[in-house]
Amino acid sequence: MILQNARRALLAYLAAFVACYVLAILFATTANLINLALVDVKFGPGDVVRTYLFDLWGMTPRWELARYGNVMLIAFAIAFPVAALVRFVALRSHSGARHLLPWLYPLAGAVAIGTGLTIMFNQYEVTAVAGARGLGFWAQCLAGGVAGFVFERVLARGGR
Amino acid sequence: MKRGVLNVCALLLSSSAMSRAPAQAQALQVETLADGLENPWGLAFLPDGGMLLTERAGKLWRLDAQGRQVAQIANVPPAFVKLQGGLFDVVLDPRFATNSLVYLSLAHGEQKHNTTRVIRARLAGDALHDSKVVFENTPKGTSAHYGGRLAFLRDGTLLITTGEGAEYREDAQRLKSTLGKIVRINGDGSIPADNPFVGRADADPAVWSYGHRNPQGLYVDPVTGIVWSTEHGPRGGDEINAIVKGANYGWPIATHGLDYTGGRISPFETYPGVTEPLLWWTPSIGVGGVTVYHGALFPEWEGDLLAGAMGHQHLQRIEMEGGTVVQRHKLLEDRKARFRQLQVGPEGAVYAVIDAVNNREKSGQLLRIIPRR
Repeated sequence: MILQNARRALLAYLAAFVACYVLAILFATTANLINLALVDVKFGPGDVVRTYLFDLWGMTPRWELARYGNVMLIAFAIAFPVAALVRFVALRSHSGARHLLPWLYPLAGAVAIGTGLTIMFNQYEVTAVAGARGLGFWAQCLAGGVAGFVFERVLARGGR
Repeated sequence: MKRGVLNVCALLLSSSAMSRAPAQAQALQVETLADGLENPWGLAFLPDGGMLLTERAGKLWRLDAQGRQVAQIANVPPAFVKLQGGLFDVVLDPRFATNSLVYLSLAHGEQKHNTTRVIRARLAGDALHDSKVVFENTPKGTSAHYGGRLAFLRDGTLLITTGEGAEYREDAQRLKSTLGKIVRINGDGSIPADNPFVGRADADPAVWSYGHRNPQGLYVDPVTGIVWSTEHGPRGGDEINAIVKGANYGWPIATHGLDYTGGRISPFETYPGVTEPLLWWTPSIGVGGVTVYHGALFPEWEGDLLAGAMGHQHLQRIEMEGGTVVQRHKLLEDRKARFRQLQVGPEGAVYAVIDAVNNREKSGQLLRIIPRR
């Protein structure tokens, strides 16, 4: 039973990561290309496709801490267990907080990505993911929120 | 035409052209003139044989010819010291012997509104007097990428490098902003009438060249007149550029570097209208200052570029022949020193300003490099 739960949690974690990663990179690359277009850079469809594909591969987790994929994995590895603990406590309480439970994992995912980006920024005052500047930051948080939603869905499906 | 030759050279340069040059390293004698410095940044030679040296923490020192710190210069304007911000470069006015004017660059302001500022002041005894702000960069809200190198052109006008503030990278392409530029002013802060964008409503008239990220080196070769600049790339793409009036050096629309997290900065490594660097380093060496060797002590180095490496901690001699790079030599790697700035002294020795040794705090040095006897 414990092993089954752990497998389910791991599957949910990986599914959440993949969802977040793909969405976050698409958002970041789009923001980056828009910023370049605003300074009159001209690019064709081939340039755009190449950039998306490069970024999708380029930020995957590696043995380098600064890779965005690594940051996501670490952030979710902290955020989702904390959210699960909060959920455990909330389910056993009789407070109104129970109504917030459907939002718990999406919120945890969004906060995880936002916190990861903020920590990276504070180290050198450079937004490591250029597409996360300005409104791009909130788009990245949205990707984290989607990850939380996916995490919850996969967990729930396994629980049926 | 010369640029064309330089560009071809950059394309042909390969890692096989890099030599660790143990023979050259053994032939060098290094004297530590000063140590225990706090992130020293800029160095200027005084006519009496002494030197002025800045520390990024906000201090300006007068050194004697042996490198001893004989006095801390008073009345240095306070700098905004945080992360990469602080007191940067010092240069003497070309007519210093008669007017005693010095120029200092520094970060000025506060966290949410700070800038690269250049002041001019008269050095009398061990104090600055009559300080005047002669340039202030477009303000920004980060403590990163200030540029801050100063150099006089042969016509007596002053070049200033500015960084793009890291968060404002696209502004390096916006001529209305002075972020990510090399600007040119007269010594009194006025704008030379022959600057390339004077009279254009969409441009700041001080802009001399644009598309720079964080230029940390600037040197005007007194023999050839070529302006050399080094600038930090992100993950890869550190560059040496020969600066031409009005040219676009590409950041962030064309670069050989990637973002720190592994993504593309732009779809392009080259782009129409963008001037290619003479050479670039991938991975980045954390390039520091640049100079051209002209002197009597190293005749075989005559006309070669010398560049500091802070991240990779060495001095790099870039052997030049007819305006092209023929070989690169890593020197003094064993010192584990972050080579921030390089100057050739009046006697032909190479003076190296070391930001830190082994990345220890307050371990900065001033080195004098001569041939081993």
